[in-house]
Amino acid sequence: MRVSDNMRYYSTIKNMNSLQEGYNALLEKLASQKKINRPSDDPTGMMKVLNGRQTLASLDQYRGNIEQGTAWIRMTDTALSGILDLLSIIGSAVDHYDMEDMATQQIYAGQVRDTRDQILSLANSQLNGNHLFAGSLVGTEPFSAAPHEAGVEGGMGARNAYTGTLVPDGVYMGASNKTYVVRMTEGGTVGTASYRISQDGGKTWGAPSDAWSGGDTILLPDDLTLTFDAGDVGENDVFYVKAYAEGYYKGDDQSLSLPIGAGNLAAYSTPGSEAFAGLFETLTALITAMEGHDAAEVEAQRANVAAARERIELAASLCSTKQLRLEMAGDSLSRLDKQVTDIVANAENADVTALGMLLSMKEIALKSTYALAGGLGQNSILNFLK
Amino acid sequence: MAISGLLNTAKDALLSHQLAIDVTGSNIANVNTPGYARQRAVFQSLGTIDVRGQVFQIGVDVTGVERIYDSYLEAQIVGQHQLVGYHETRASFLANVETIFDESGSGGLADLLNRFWGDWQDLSANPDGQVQRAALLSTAQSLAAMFRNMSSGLKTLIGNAEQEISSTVTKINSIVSAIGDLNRRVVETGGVEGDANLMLDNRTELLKSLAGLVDISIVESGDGSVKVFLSDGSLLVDGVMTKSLALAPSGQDPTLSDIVFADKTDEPVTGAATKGKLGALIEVRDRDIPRYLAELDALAAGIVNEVNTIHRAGFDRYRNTGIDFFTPVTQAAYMQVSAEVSGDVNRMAASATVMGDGENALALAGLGEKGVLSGGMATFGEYYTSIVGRVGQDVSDVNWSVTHQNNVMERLTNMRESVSGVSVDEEMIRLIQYQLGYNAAGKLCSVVDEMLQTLMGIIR
Repeated sequence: MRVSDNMRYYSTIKNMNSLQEGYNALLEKLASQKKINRPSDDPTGMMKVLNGRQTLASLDQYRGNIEQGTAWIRMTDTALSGILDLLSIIGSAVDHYDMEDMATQQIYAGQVRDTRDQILSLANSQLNGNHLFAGSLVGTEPFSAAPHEAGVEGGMGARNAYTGTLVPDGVYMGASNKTYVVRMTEGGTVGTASYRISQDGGKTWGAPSDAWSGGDTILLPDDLTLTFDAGDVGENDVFYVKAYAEGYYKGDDQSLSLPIGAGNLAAYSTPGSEAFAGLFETLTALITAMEGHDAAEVEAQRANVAAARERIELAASLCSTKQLRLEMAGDSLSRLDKQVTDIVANAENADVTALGMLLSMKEIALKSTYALAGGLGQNSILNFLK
Repeated sequence: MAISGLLNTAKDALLSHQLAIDVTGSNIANVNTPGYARQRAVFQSLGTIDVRGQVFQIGVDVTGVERIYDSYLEAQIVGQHQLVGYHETRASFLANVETIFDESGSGGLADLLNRFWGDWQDLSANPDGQVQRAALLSTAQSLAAMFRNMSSGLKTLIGNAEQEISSTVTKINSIVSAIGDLNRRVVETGGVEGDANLMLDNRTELLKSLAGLVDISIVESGDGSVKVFLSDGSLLVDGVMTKSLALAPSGQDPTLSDIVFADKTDEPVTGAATKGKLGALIEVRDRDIPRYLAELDALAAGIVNEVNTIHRAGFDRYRNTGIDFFTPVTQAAYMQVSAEVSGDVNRMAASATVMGDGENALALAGLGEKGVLSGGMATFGEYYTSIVGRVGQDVSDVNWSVTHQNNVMERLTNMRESVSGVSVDEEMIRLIQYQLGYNAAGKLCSVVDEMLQTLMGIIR
């Protein structure tokens, strides 16, 4: 084969470029400590890294949720334990009540009243401004010192187009608190505009309707009504009616939950309606009986106090179960986190030792090529011509 | 044979070897000239004498200067230029696309998406929190800006490809015109090989340059000229006749151009450019980048639609129903947080009820893990990851093709060099060879001169 002069030069230049390209690639990996510096370095590896990062971000969020839920549960548990301690004091007062004289019974009555106030305070405990026992209505103080009648409260969205007044009405006979929401599906004049009603605060909606009673009133379930002034309503205007059952509780029955894994929601709150059902009614009746020196009634309330205590113990027990579930989920997430971190690291991080070896090999090859290039043209027939 | 005839023979030998040395000198001078095909003087004995019935050849002449080349190899190199031009140009553009989708570090779209869903989850834990709302707004605005920037980057690349198409067409026209001119000169010089060889070398180089720009096929005519066709059979050069390409607004997208012949602007020949630089530019402008852009748009539109749908189902801090969180758009280029939400973070509908819970924020956070795109099979994050993976794979593939095609080109170039390239060693030996012939012819002159002197002395 004939070998022209240019063939030597082309070949040397190509080899040098190729070696320098490889050398630079190794330097880049060593400097970044990563074997993937751009998607094309390893497209599949890059996808692994991105999926891994996404999983790690989710795991981080789940762990944050678990911390938040755990703090809530611990606080709840502390409050429930405190209430159980206070109920022991009340139980002791009930036990000794009929053996004491009237003055001492009065002292017991005062003691129970003070203890009831402490229980009320604990039942209204907050964490970061959120009430622990209000169900999902964390902004509402769940328990009041005095019982309230069944009743309704109305309100509307602050950015409604409707500017008139709103009058909710009716006697609420339900057993638990509810929030009804009316949303205008079309704007228009009061009495003609169409709307939908939700019975669960706005989560789910009934069928659209344009039925108005008396031209200005919307009939709500449970015989409640909502009356408007004459005027116009806007599309998506929101009106609501909070209906309270008779008693001490103003929260709802919903339990709060947070995701602690893909598709895995964990409930972490304890609604007061569940843990403290009948507690304040019992305590009020007990105080009344004690203050009235009605030993028989005091004795009659002993079973109610015991029942209330059982419900609180059950709630405390459920707290422990919830906490255990969160701890187990947390442990599982930590293990998963380590595995995913390893996968991402394996896909992304460079083996510095191996890279160092390869760099040394490239350097030797480069030096050889430079030596070869420096000698190009030195061996020629020209050296032998006179 | 007369003595004077012998002098003529010596003269012919001197001139022939001098010409051969000229040719060798030309080879040495052009040792580094791209596209130069080495030449060789073709010696042929000249004239005959009849001696006792036997015919002997006497004298010498250089009947031509042969251009040593392999037409099949040259055709292969022209074809290879089309592939190298195509892959190198595509690689260059896709490398720019890759920088837009570079997620090797943090701070890319993937990170922002993770933060966006995380911020919704943070808000769900504290639905009234102003800090959480402000953080979410900031992340959402960064996310939208990132989508806009990526879309803008891709559109800029389409604009760059369009500009390069224009300059490439101009270059093609210039080369086509030069080939036509060389065709004319090759035909005019006819059999005068020395002159023609230079033009043939130049024309071959121009054909290679043209092949690097657009896929062509070449047919050599009997008169030495070439015909050049586009891949669809359209004639670009026919002897001295050449046709110019031009650009006309595309029927599908008037902001882009179709390639047409200057004398027939209503019939696009864009589809004829499938290789070479022009083919690559059309590929990246009309297919590669629009595909990435469409996928980015689908991702942006999916996020906008899903977030808005859930957001509208919730309640804001004013106890009003949610509004669109993002301005409803279908293209990443226009993605932005709605003016109402940007102007008042309390318009964020974190609650599923009017009572101010955080369940709607939780539902929005859950979107990050919900299969929405690719027929409900891919989450937004997975869909984006697949785009990045595809870009990386495309760049990796085209880089591999560049390496492969350059290797093939190197091999073909070496084969061509082996046939047509100049070897200084070889030329120096030829130089010695021709110098020796020249010296011998000179000596012949001297001997004939002496013979003439002797003869003249006898006469005196």
